[in-house]
Amino acid sequence: MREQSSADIAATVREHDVHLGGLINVNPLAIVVIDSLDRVQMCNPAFERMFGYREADMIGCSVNSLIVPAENTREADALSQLGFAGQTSDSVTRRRRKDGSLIDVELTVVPLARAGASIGAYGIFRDLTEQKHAERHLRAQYAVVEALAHSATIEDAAPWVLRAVAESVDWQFGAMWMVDKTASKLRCLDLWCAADVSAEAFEAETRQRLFDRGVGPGRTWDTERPAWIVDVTAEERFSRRQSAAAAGLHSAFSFPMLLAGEVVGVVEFFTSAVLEPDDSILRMFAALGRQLGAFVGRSRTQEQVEDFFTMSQDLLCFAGFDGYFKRVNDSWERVLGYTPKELLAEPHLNLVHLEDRQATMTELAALQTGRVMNSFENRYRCKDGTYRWLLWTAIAKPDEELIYAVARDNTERKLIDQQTQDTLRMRNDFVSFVTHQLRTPLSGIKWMLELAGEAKDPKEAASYIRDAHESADRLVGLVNDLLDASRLESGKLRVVLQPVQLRTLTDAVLDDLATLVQEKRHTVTVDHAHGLPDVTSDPQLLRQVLMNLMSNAIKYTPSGGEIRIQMEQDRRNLRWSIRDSGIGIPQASVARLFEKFYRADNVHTVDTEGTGLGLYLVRLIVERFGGTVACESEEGRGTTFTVTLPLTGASA
Amino acid sequence: MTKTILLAEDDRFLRRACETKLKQCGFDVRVAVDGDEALSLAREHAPDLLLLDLLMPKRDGLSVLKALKADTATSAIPIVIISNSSKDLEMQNASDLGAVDYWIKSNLSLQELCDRVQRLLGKPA
Repeated sequence: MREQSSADIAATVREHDVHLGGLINVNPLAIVVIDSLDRVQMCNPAFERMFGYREADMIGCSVNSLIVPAENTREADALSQLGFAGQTSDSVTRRRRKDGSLIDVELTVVPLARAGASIGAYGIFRDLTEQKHAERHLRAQYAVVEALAHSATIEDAAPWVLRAVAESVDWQFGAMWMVDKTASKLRCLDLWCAADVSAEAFEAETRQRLFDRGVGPGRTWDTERPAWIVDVTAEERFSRRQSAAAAGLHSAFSFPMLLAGEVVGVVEFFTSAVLEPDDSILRMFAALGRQLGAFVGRSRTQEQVEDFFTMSQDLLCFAGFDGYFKRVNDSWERVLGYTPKELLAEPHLNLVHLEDRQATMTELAALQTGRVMNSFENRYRCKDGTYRWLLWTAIAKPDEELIYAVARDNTERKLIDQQTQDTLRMRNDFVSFVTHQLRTPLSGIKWMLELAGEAKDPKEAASYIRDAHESADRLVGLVNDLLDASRLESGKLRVVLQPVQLRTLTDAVLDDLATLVQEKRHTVTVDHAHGLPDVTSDPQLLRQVLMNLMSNAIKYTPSGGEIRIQMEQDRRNLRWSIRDSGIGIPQASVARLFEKFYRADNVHTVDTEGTGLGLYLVRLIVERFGGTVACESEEGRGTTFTVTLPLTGASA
Repeated sequence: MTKTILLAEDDRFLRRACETKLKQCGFDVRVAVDGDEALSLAREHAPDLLLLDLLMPKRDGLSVLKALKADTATSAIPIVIISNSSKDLEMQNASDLGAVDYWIKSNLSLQELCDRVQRLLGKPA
């Protein structure tokens, strides 16, 4: 007879168990005995504890209908059949408790036979809940670490973190909230929703809502610890409960993202099941919250450093020991004109001025041995071919083979230094020049008066006094020139503008200079068109201009030379020029000719009495009238000065 | 024996005053109006003293000084710079090139100038 009564099987097993010292009865593994129709014959106390059924309630009932979730029926049947067929089999699966909750188990089915005939089977269950939790937690942890490692900011990491955590605990919805310190609100950063849940309204509400501290997810912000809500749809204080209910979400837990004890954000998860608080989940996520907080801290620091890197006016860079830039900030393009890509493409030494390369290589070598580079200056070539002075501070990290360097564009500073030096030098030149120029006529006056004082013959005395007078006149002229220059420079010279006939003025000056012209036997010609219009000018000052230029021409032209004065007009201007066949001016001097106190390199071969003020005054005066003065010269051949003045009536 | 002095000075007033005074003091005085002339007269006459201005046409005083000191025929002529420039650099250059002294004209009266010359050369005969 194949079939044996239930009481028989149970009795037989119990009898065996007694012999085995209660191996089944006291076993911590849950053990159930079924007959070949899957009906429960007996179970041990561990089974009762695991599944929440009392043995008496189960006897004779189909075990599958009691503890197998619908989706596992087929698998459970198959396992039973193997047992009945005399095979022992092992499976990791899931069963249901009396309260409906699921439990992960390792199930071993062992055949129960008598006299070679199968009469049922043992089912031995090991609770895998703890192990499953540990595994899930590890998986979640791993996924989070992966997500953070591949993200620069919490914004990048959020979707991956939410998904990893939700999937690991098998929950359907997750949202990450960040504390907005300025607004003192909690704002949704990102959310994740499982594909099989339609939670549009809940998603929209979660994205739009801002929460104060102490309200909604803000409660976790306030308490700074994880929280669990068994069913949000039954929770009065849960303000999103309608849309949550519409999405079929019930249980929720949240935990704070903590950075140095401060809440920087909150993460919350929802599931469609109604679940009692699970301590292991809450514990695990407290740790995750600290991890996320620390990440926010790191990425904020990183962000701050990035911001500094980007917004610095200085040129920041990393360079490898291989001689290439690895990274440069935007200032490089602003200062030198190269894109970062261009800068990274060639050895940075190529951009250094040839004259500075050796010094730069020496500095780089010292840097790589650990010395700090401080206040080193070199010139870098810009994209437009010009050079900029860079002032460097740098350190090397030999283990990374990297140089961290900051360069400042020091070009303006260099220029200012140069200008300051120029100004100082000019002032020194000015003082010593003026000293010399003033002392010479002063000595003349002093010595002539000394001689006059000692002279016995009154006629002789009178001639010394005449010379003293002449020296005094020279002194007065020099002082007046200096004053004129100074007033013109500061714009304080009184100028009386009126129409002036340049032709008449030229003739008058020529008359004054007639003796000098005759002494040197120069030929002077004056060319001009008829009916030249007037120019607007101050006749006294303009006379000084002509006098300076004409006496220069006479002075710097060897005897018997030719001087030609020309006047011509165009639509707006009148051009007055004077060409001599004199000693000319070296090219290098032409450019500086109109500077204060500048005297051409070769003038001392002719005369030493010049003050270096004449042409400077010419320029100041002409410019005061809205005109220009220019010079062309060839050394040994002659010089042409051209004064261009606006015609009366021509708009400036 | 009358001591001869070569006076190289381009400014006509200073030249006239200086020449007059030195002659009154009993020296034999020759004058040069520019650097070239100073050089050629010094070579020609080998004076007992050369009073040499710095800023002169054609050739400046330092160049005259250098040329005379470089030539053994003239290197023994004592040379005093008489200038109105008080640039340190020029004074240093003059001293380096072998000038015996450097006088600033505006700071001296003619009498003081003659006294100094006399101290350098001894009383004119």
